[in-house]
This record gives sequence, structure tokens and C-alpha cells, in this order.
Amino acid sequence: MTDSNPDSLLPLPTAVFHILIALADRDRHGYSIMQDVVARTGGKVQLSAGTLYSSIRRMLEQGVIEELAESPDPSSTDERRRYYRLTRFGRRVAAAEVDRLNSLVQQARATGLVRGV
Amino acid sequence: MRATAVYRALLHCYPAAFRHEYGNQMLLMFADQLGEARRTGRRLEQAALWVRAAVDALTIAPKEHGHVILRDLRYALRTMAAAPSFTTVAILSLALGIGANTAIFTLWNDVLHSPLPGVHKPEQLVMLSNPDDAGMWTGRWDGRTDGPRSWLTYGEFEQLRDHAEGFSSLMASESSLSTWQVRFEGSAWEEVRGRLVSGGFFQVLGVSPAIGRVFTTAEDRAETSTRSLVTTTGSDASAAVPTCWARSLPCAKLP
Repeated sequence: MTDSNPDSLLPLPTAVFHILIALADRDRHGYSIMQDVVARTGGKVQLSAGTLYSSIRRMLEQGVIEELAESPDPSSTDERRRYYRLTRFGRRVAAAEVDRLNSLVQQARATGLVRGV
Repeated sequence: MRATAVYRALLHCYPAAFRHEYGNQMLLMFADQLGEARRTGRRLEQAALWVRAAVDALTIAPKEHGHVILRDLRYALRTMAAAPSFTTVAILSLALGIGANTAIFTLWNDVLHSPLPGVHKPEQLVMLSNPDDAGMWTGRWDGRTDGPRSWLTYGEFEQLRDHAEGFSSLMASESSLSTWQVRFEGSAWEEVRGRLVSGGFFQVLGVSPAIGRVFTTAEDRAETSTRSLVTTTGSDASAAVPTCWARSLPCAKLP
């Protein structure tokens, strides 16, 4: 872990934030993360293998995610898959990024750049 | 199978550490994506997958290489900071080794490879020695008129200069600098460094004087005792150059 202050990692790259969102509800392997991102964005965002695993490498070093020793899915028969889980620090980082984005959106609405809902 | 092999080859664009850690996962994911695209029959999707894989190799792989280099540098710096004595000795050893090698190379390069400064077409210059001898630096003239020697006599030089057709021009020069007593016009005798050279010395080298003119081959052949001031040491002699250049000066060689 490079720093315990979540703000030190902000702003997050788009791919990293998508991965955090994908891992928010359950542990996933790489292909599952990619599929989740495609499904959530309606295919507008497609993570390539290089982008995904480069991001995963960096997130593991930062302590934002961790790799699981065993598959969380007992029914899974493919032992080659490696699963990743969001850490507590990762959730704080995601929350900090959401706050940052919220603040930006509020500023945009306050200045009349966009209309509020 | 062929697609997998091609993608595996593409993975070699990534650093070995990254490839060993994530290569199989990337291959697995790419195979899944490609299989999905084939099942649905979307050819454009397959093409897009290959394009993304190629773009990854061109953009993500260099970043990963940079990351590995930075990580190694950080590790090296931490290791060095943890052992300052060893680090000091290592740096000093490297500095000494590099400095000594640089000095030796500079000397070797200047002496053996660099062209003679100021000389026109230095690559065409050759030094002639006694053809009966093994080489120009072997043998030693010790005043004897018999036995081995390397240098040509002045008579041999004149023969070569006047009859040899293989050279555009020839000149002769004393092999070492000597100290001379010279008296410039109206001044006291003073010591200068100089050497005896033949006419055509400057013409063969292709150099011209900054002021005045140099003596010619014709002047060398004339029965005169003309001496040309080539170099001087001492402020008085330097100041006298404009008045005595290429003029006959009374001089005597010091022992």
C-alpha cells in the first residue's frame, strides 16, 4: 500500500473506477469484471486485457484490491481463474472518488453549466 | 489455437515479470472474448479485439516497462541507502574505473586516431624511414655512420624529393625540438625552441602562417642561411615576429 490517505490516489483513472464498481457487490475474476463493465455501460466502455490487468497490478500494489487465495464460487470448475476483492481501503478510495465527482457535478449545476435534476 | 499463439506472442511486448504474473489471465480473457465473438458471428467484434490487443501492446506495454524500471531504481536506491559504506566504495570504484578508461581512451584516440590538427589531408601524410630497417621507430642513431638506423640521410631525402614519382611532394624535418640562440634585429640574444626543416615543410603540411609568409623550396635550395621562425617562447620573441618572419636571422644551436 503506497499511502493510507484515499485522497492521495485521486482522481482515479476511469478503468480503475469501473473496476472498483464491478467489485463492489461481489468478488470477480478478470473476465467477469470486463463483462460487468460492458453490461453496466451498455457496451460503451470495453476494458481490454492489457488495460484491465495493468490496472489490477497497480490496484494490488496500492492495496485497493486483493487477490483471493481460493475461488469464492464453490461451483466454479476453472481453477485457472484468479479472483479479486475490494479491500476496506479500496472502499474508502471509491467513496472519496464519488465525493470528488459529486462535488464537481454540484459545481457544474451551481454555475448553470448543466441543469439539476 | 492459432489466435491464442498470436496473442501469446503479443504478450512478449510486456515485461517478463508482468507477463509471468498476468500473461495467462490475459490469454484466458482474450480467448473468452474471442470465443464469445465467434459464437455470435460478429466479425467486426473479432477485428476490434485484435485491434485493442495491438493497441495494448503499443501503449500499455511501454508503460509497464517504465513501471518496472522505476521499481528497480527505487529498490536500488533503497539498497544503496541501507549500506552507505558499500555504496561509497562501489561509486568510487566505478568513478575511478570510468575515469581511467576515459583518460586512456582519450590519449589513445588523440595519439593514434585523431587527424593532425590544422594539417590539410592528414590521412595522405606518410613518414618515410630507411627501407632496409624493420620500422621507423626501431634502431637508433647514435652518431655512427655504419650499422642499423631508421632515419634517412639528407642526401637520400633529396634523391626521393627530386626523383620519386609516388609522392606529390616531400619535406624533411629534424626528429626533435632543439634550443637555439637567436638574435632579432637590434635585440639581445635569446633562446627559442625550433627545429631544422626543409623547404616545402609548410606546403606539404598544407598550413599557412597567420602573418607573413613561409620560406619556399627554392629558398631552401639557394646557398643562403635563411632560417624561418616557426615558434617562439617568451613575450619578447613573440613581439618580434612581425619584423623577422621569413628573414635571415643569426642563430646558433645550443648543445
